[in-house]
Amino acid sequence: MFSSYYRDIQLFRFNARTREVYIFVSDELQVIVSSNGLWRFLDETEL
Amino acid sequence: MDFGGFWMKPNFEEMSRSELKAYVLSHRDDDEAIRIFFGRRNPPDSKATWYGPMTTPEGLPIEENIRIAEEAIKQRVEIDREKQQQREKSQSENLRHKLEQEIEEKLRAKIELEVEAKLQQKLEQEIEDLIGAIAQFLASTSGFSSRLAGSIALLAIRAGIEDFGDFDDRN
Repeated sequence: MFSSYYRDIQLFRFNARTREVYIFVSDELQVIVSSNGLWRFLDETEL
Repeated sequence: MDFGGFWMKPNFEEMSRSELKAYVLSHRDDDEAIRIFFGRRNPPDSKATWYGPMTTPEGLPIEENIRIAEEAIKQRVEIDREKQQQREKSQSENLRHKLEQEIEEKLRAKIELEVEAKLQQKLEQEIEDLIGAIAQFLASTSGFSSRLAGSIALLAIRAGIEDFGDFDDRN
């Protein structure tokens, strides 16, 4: 989905302790996916 | 940070968001930095907008959530692009400003040099005229040949002799 908007994914990491996935797409765009599938933007003020 | 061969990790807690972001991108294996970066959430989880999962636990796509996610991400990407363009614009403006300043400084230095050279030229001409005048005065009053008078005048000016020509008062 990110790459379809011509954005490379810079970093993708699974935190085993919190069972969260961290996706670092670009300067203003980072996403956290929780283990239940819900996801959020790391920083909402940039909107 | 490297202190005499000992690797010391920077203090991530003290880093600003943009510093930490830059660090994470250049140290992608540093899990601690990544964890701290993704731990700084704005707003905190309890107040955040959470988007619904894009698949069921069985892995079946939830079309509505996918559509909402796509829309939200698209919006974000557009803002991201705009911000990047703004950054690039301000960078190029800064560069232009810097170049203009540098050119102006260089030109100013050149102009100053030219003015200085002209002043020097003028000063030299004035000294030459002064030597000529003194030599003429000496030749007419002392009977020195004009060549000798010229040399004496030059010598007098070089030596900075004061009260030059006050022969009458002294005698």
